[in-house]
Amino acid sequence: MSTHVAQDTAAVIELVGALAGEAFGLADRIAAAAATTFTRQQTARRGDLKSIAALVRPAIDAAGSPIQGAGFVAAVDALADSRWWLEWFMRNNGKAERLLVDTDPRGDNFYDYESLPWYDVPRTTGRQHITGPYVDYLCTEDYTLTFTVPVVVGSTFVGVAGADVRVFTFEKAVLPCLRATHRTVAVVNDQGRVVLSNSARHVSGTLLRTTAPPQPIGDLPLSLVELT
Amino acid sequence: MAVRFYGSGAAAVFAPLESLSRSELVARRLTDAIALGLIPDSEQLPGESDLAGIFGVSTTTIREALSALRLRGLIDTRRGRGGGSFVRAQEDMSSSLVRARLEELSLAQLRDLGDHYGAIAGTAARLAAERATPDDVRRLAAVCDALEHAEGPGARRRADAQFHIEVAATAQSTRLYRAEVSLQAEVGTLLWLAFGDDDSHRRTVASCREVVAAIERTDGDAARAAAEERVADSTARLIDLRLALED
Repeated sequence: MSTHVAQDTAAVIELVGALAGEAFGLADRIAAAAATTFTRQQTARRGDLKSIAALVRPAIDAAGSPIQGAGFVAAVDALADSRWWLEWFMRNNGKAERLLVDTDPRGDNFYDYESLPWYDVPRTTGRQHITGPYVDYLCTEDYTLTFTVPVVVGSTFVGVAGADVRVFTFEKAVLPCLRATHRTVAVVNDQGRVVLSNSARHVSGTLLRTTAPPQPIGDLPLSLVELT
Repeated sequence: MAVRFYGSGAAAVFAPLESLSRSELVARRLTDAIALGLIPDSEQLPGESDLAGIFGVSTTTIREALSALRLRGLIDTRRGRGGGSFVRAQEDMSSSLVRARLEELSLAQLRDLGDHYGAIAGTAARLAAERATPDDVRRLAAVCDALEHAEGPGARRRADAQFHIEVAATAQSTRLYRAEVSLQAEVGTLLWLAFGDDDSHRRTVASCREVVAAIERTDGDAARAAAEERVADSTARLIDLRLALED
């Protein structure tokens, strides 16, 4: 890609980086709080995770916050009093509310999150991950981007910390900048799925089958692709 | 108040209601959930205000629905500390429930329900074929496996609902996802109460596998055809059952 194009798209890259940075920044703070709990206590319990609510609630409640939900999802058997647990909060009518889930595997409403990408990818790669855009039927019931990081204490994986940003919010924030490039470009995830583009034929959610060289967006699993 | 989560299987049962005679509809959803074992015997129901939030109706409506369930002996209500409404599952609720439900529907209504369901399921399958990544295909295959190994109508219905919801999610459509959830509540329950037997279950698994195979080949037309065929087949069987009620 020429330097000229790189200049046009630098603003997009910076903006996407800043948004992802806000979500990952919160995820990192949650991860640090969770790690502190697990370091301090050999056998941590659900009630020991209170510091997470104190971090997440203000981040969700803040006016104009892009964060729709955030929290910590415990690895199976990481907590002493619940095999599965989500210490998760989401925005409801403008205020953060705790998400209640059925964490009894015998329950008919139980959902095994171990195979879901927002949990499984950070666990297996040990790296931060962006899941989506996807229809999040477990939590937001909305078209969502989920930013997760692994929480590791010593060499033990104890769960993931993460934050949700609605695709709607991402689009509102980034589209004006995308339009201003006066080019047809798409922000694409590492699976080739369009997160956002300014082309009616490659809207969010579609898969891009392209040969154009992608321009990486920082060290994120996202890139910018020029569409023809 | 906390946001109550019931998982996708029961999300269908607790999906917000839109039509009239709300208390009867709430009573119906809860009855279905009990018949299918989604709310197990002796389990406590959420409180009135939580139920009102879940169904998107007033607490008065919930009170009416609960009193209807109480009359039918499906719940016990205890007062005071540790009180609330507790489920009392009954033997062989399924067949009498299907009978009663089918008797309310005309053949033309059943056909129309099948048409609507086919449109949603068919389009979701076609778009899923266009938009599925290899990871999505693996997840769909895993849901098929779970469906194959599910035992009993309740677990099978839940796994089947999960499959449809995954297909709609793979289609990347929030609207199709929501349409699937409410259709699962309307028709999925009826289908699994009527056809929870092993033979029907095998047919369902085979048709789900066919949909996934077409999605994997990125063959949208075949995925749509397989999904539509399955709905048409189920609808025809329901209509047969409805016809037999006339004898």
